[in-house]
Amino acid sequence: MNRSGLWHDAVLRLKANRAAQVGACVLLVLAIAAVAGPWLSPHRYDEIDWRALASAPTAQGAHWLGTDELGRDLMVRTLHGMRTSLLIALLASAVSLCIGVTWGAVAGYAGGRLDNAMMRFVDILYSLPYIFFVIILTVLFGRNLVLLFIAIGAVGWLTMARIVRGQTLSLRRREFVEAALALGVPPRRIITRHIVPNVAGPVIVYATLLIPQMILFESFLSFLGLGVQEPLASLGSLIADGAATMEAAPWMLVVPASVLVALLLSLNFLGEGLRDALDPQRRS
Amino acid sequence: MSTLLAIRDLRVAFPSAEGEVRAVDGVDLDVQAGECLAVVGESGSGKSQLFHAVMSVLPGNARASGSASLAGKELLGRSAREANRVRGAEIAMIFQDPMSSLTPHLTIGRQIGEVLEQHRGLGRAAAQGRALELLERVHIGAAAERLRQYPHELSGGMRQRAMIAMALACEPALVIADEPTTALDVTIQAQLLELFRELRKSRDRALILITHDLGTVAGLADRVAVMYAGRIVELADVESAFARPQHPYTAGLLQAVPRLDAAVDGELRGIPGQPPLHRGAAPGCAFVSRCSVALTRCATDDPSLQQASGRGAVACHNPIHGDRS
Repeated sequence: MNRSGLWHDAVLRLKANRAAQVGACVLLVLAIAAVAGPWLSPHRYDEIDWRALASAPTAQGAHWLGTDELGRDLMVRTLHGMRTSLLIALLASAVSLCIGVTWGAVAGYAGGRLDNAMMRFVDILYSLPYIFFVIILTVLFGRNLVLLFIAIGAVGWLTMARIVRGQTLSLRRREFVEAALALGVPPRRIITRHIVPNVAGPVIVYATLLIPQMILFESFLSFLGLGVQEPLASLGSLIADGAATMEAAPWMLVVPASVLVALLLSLNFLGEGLRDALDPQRRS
Repeated sequence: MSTLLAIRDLRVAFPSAEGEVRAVDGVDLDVQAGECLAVVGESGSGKSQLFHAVMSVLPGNARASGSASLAGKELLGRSAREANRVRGAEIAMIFQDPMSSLTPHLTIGRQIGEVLEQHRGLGRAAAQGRALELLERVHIGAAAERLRQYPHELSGGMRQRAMIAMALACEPALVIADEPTTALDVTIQAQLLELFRELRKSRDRALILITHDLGTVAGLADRVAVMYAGRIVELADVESAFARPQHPYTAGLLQAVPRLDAAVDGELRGIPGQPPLHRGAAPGCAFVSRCSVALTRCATDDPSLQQASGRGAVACHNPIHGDRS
C-alpha cells in the first residue's frame, strides 16, 4: 500500500463521498464562472442597454438571463457579484480563521489567568454592537472593500476562538498531550502539531459556515449602503435590488438568489465531507 | 552503583472542597543507576502522582513540594524550558493506555521522530532512519511500513511497543513505565514483559515500573517499593518482599493475588475496607482500620519508614516476622 500521509488519505476519503464531490464540483464551476465569466461575456457589468430595460430572460436575445431596471445584463452582473462576494467572504474568513485558531489554542492551552484574560477580552468584543463597529471601520478605512473585510474578519474570529479554546481545553488533558509533554516536546510544538490538527474538524466545519455568514453579512452591509457601491455588484446587493422588484420582474431576484443558494449548499456539503475525511478514525 | 534519582520528602496535594487531598505524602526514595524498581500499590495510593511530579506532568491544580534530583540536578520547580530539556532525553515515561497516548493524526514515524528532532536536533530524514531502528529494537514486524501508519492502524500491543520505542529514542538513563501492561490483554502483557526483560539485560538504564500487578514485578524488578495512602510502607529486595513481607499491607496484597498452585476451592482473600481519602485526618497509621495485627499505638502514632535488619525498610509498629505461610 502506498501511503503518503494524512492528506492523501483524506483526499481518498473525500473522493468516496458523493455529496462532497458534487459540492466541490459545483463550487469549482461557480468559482471559475465568477473569475472567468465577466471577461468572456460580451457585456460589461456596468454597461446599459437602452433597448432592453428590465427585459425577461430569453434564449434568443442578447441577454440570456434578462436585464435589470437599468438595462444591465443580469448574467454578467450576477457573475461579477459572485466574484465580489466570494472574494470578500474568503478574505474575511481567512483572517478570522487565523486569529481565532491562534487565540483559542493559546488561551485553551495556557489556561489559568492568561486564559481568563484572553477570553474576557473576547467577551468584551462580543458585547460591542457589531454594526456600530463596522460603521466606524468604514469611516476609518473609507470605501476600500478589501480593507473593510479584513477588518470585519478581525472582529469575526470571536466564535472561532471560543470553539478552538473549548476543544483545546478538552485535548490538553488527553493522554497523548501528556505523553508528548513527558517526552519533552515544547508547548509551542504541542499546540501546533498535537492540538491544532486535532481541532481541524470543527474548525473546517465552522469555516464553511463562516463563509456563507460573511456573504450574508456583506449583503446586509450593501443593503445599508455601507458595502458594495453601485455600479459594482455583489450577490447581496443584487438580491436586495431583486427583492424590491420581485412582483414585476421575478428573475432579478431568482437569478442571484439561486446562485447564492447553490453556493451555500455546495459549501456546506464540501465542509461536511472535509470533516469526515480529515478524521482518521472515521473510516468508511 | 550510584544513585541516579533521589527523591526527598516529596509531597503532592490537590485542593478539594473538603480540604487538601494529599496524594503523595512525604516520600523518600533512591533509585540506583541501572536498577529496576517496582512501585506497587492499589489505585489511589499515589504511585502514579509521585512520578508524574518527578516528570512535571501533574495536573494544573496539583501542588508539588519537596525535592527530586536526577544525577544531582533538581527536577522540581524548574521552568518549562528546563524541564523539556530533561524530559524525553534523560527521563522518559511510558503511559498506561497506548490507545490514547499516541497523537491520532501523526504517523508513528513522525511521533518517534519528533523526540529525536527535539532533543538530538536530527533532521527529518535522519530521525526517520533512527525511528526505524527503534521500531526494530522493540520487535515491531514490518517496521518500515509501521513507520508510515497512524496509531489507529496498529494493535494495542504494537502501540505500546511504539510508545516504548519513543521512550528509548534518546537513550535516557531512567525510564518510568506507568502501568505499561494494564490496558492490554494477558498474552500481549507477557510479550511486553519479555521485551522489558530483554531491555533490562544491558543494565545501562534504570527502570521504574509502576504497577498494581504483582506478577509483573516478580520476574522483572530488583527492588519493590510498596505504597499506601501516599507513602512508601515497605521497601525491600524483590525476593524478600515476596517471601517475607513485613508490612501487613504487603502481605495482604500478596494474599490477594490468585495463585495457580493454591487449592481450587481456596477463597481469594482481599484486604477489607478502602484506603483513606485523607491521610492525617486521624493521627495514627493510615492502614490501621484495615490491619489485622494493629496494636493500640497504631491508632495514635503514625509509623515512619525504618530500616529493618537486612531486609529493607518498613513503616510499621508491628511488622510481620518470619516466613509467609
